[in-house]
Amino acid sequence: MITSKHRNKIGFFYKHLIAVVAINILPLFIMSGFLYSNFIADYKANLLEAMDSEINLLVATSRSALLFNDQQSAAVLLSSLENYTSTRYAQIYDANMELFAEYKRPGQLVDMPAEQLNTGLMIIGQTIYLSKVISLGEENLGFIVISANTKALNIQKQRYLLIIGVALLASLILAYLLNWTLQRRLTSPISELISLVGYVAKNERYHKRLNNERDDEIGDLILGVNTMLDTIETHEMQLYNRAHYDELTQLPNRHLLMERLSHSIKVADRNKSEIALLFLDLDRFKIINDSLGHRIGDELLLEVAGKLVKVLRTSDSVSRWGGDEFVMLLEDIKSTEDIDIIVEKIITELAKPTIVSGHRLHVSTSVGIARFPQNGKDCQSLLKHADISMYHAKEQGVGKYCYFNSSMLNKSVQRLSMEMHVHKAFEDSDFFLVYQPQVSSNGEKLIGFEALIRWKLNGAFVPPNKFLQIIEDVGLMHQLSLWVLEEACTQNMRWQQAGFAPVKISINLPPSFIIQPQCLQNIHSVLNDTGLAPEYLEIELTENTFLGSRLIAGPILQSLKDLGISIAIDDFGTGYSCMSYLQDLPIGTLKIDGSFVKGLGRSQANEGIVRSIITLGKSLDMQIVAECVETEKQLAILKKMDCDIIQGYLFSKPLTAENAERYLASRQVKKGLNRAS
Amino acid sequence: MQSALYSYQDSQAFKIIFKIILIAFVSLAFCDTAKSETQLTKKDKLKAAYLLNFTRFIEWPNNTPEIPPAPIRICVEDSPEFLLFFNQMSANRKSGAQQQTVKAYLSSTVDGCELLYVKESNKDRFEKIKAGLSENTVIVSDSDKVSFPGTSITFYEKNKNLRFEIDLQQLNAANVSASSELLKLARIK
Repeated sequence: MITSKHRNKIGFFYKHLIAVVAINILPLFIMSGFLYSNFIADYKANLLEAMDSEINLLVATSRSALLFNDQQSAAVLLSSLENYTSTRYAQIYDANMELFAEYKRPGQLVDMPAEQLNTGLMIIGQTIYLSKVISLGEENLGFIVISANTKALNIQKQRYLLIIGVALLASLILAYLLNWTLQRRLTSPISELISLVGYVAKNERYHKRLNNERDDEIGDLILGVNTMLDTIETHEMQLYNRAHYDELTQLPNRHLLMERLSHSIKVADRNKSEIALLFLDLDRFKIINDSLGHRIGDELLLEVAGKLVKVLRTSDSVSRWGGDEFVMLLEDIKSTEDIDIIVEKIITELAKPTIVSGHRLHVSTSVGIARFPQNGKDCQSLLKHADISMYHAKEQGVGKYCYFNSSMLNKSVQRLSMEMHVHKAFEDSDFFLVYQPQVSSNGEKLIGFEALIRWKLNGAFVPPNKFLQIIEDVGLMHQLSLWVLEEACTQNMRWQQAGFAPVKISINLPPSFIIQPQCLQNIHSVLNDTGLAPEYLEIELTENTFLGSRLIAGPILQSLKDLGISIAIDDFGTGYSCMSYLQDLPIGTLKIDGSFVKGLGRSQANEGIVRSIITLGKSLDMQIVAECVETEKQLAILKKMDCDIIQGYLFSKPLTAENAERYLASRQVKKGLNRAS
Repeated sequence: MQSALYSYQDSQAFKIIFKIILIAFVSLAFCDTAKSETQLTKKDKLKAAYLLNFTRFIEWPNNTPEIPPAPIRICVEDSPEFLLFFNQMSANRKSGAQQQTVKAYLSSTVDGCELLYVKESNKDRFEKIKAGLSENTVIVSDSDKVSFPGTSITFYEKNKNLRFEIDLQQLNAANVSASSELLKLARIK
């Protein structure tokens, strides 16, 4: 029995072939059945007609025998039936139903008594009985019965069945062969299509096409499938590119990088060669992106990608890891010098100014390097170690590179721990401000305080340069800057409300705070909330603020200046920026970096730098503040150079709010000048 | 109503009387038949039947067509019992294509007949009898022991069965035709 499961396994074309052959054969079957029935009916009718003719003849010829009681003649008449092979026996009965004459074929028995015979035709099983009355005029002389078997009819039936069966079988085979041949010729393109679709489904490859020289529906179908495969192939390509390539730079993305890295590791492992993984992070990209917008940032990334590709060897590859991070894979490394050459080439190339939409941008990159097999045997560990070493490079300053070593793992853990502590300190308000006085160079006048942030972790102070970068990295810098601004202004206002003569409070704000769109609004809100007059607030910025965002920072600083807030440049002399901004921007104060001040009295070159800064500031009508002044000698030199304001341990270390208030009180009582003014 | 009732009763009575008379006639007839049968041998009766059957397979020329056709006359000599038996047997039976009735007569009573049945006992008077016959008369001889001139059919016995011989020449001379069915049963002379 064919189950539905098996039926489904039968191919469509085979089913179609069977259906067509069946349809072809069905009318033949019907016709054959009809012909067979007709043949048999005709044969039967002929048989009966022959019997009827014979019996009629016998009836006609046996009358006289009956009339003249000539049984012998009657028997002779009946014996003529011997030639009719189907005849079993024949009998003539007289009018008294007495047997008059009889003929029996050898071996045949009379099985129908005269009493049971009816005039006419009787067919019982395979035996025919035909009887007729023998009469002359109206006189009934007797009757005759002929019994015949239907063996001849059955033989004829079998013969017809055989002929029809053979004819049908031949027709079936012929129909099958013809249809099979025809179907093969007609459906060969469809078979090719099915093979193609099967290949595509199995291998998920879409490069194969079918030749199409037909101009019919099949041709349309092939064309449609080919077009569909074109579309799928294109989409596949697009999907592959989207999945494996960075949309902006068209460099391989991290997914493809991992594949390549995995492959490179296997090859290197097999060949006992080395590979190096370089993790690049652009320095100051965030500032540029935030200040000049994402479009400029994207264009800059494109330029950087172009530069990176340019410095690559053919065996190397570069990919964009995300944001401003790139990863380079250097294969077949012979020595560390090979890596050094390539990395320095990268740093040098990226350090060159890049012109993007009219902006002359300076970016650099920090590079972390991990090597196979020394620093890791798999993709994840190599990437992780390259990333860690990149952070160490960043700690060393911009445009540095650093090879991974295992001790970095501890530092990395420490950094992670520090990040958690920073978050907790922020939630617990563990940060506080200290205030370092700024005094006129003659030591007589307290000009103001610089607010400095402090954090105690487990009873020990954490240097600001240790946690501020972490705060920047974890995204809390804006909130912290706002808090510092509010706290410092509130404290200054509190002193003023306490009756002290107003002094300036200087606050360090990072570039990211200055260039953010809500900068002015935030500062204005704080001043309004605290009630501090703008002239008692000074904002200290580093040179880096102007390096990538001069166009944005300029108007903001001008607005702050217009508001009455003073702008100071902190750590002046350590940056790389063009000094033309000193002329263009509304800067009122230059703060000489402490490193220069500490060198005063030790080298002539150092004194020259300080003198130049002071001369420059003075020429631009700026006030000059010297930081980290710790000795009388430094003070004397600075006074001689006409420095305006001194800040340092010589006068006071940074003070808590309470101590600063006491210092303020002592200075104003002692001098009495500030209060009077 | 009453007159109708009377007429109905009269009619019933008449029918009963008619039936009684009919039964009486039939009884008489059967008595006669029985009487005649008792005087005839089985062979005679068989011959009577054969004679009747001969008329069914022989065709005489129809010289004087009549409507209805005239009966076929069978002439016999000096045998009233045979005559009676034959006529009783042939009553209601018709022969030939024209469906003629068949009736037996004493040859002395008719002028010419289609078939003459003569016995050995009629040998002496045969010439006289023959003189009164027509040229189409078929002479049937009772036995082959005696020869009658012009005899067409002669009875004889074979294996104790009654058979007959036909002289085709005489039949042709009598200008009559015999059916093949008859001829196939006969011994042809």
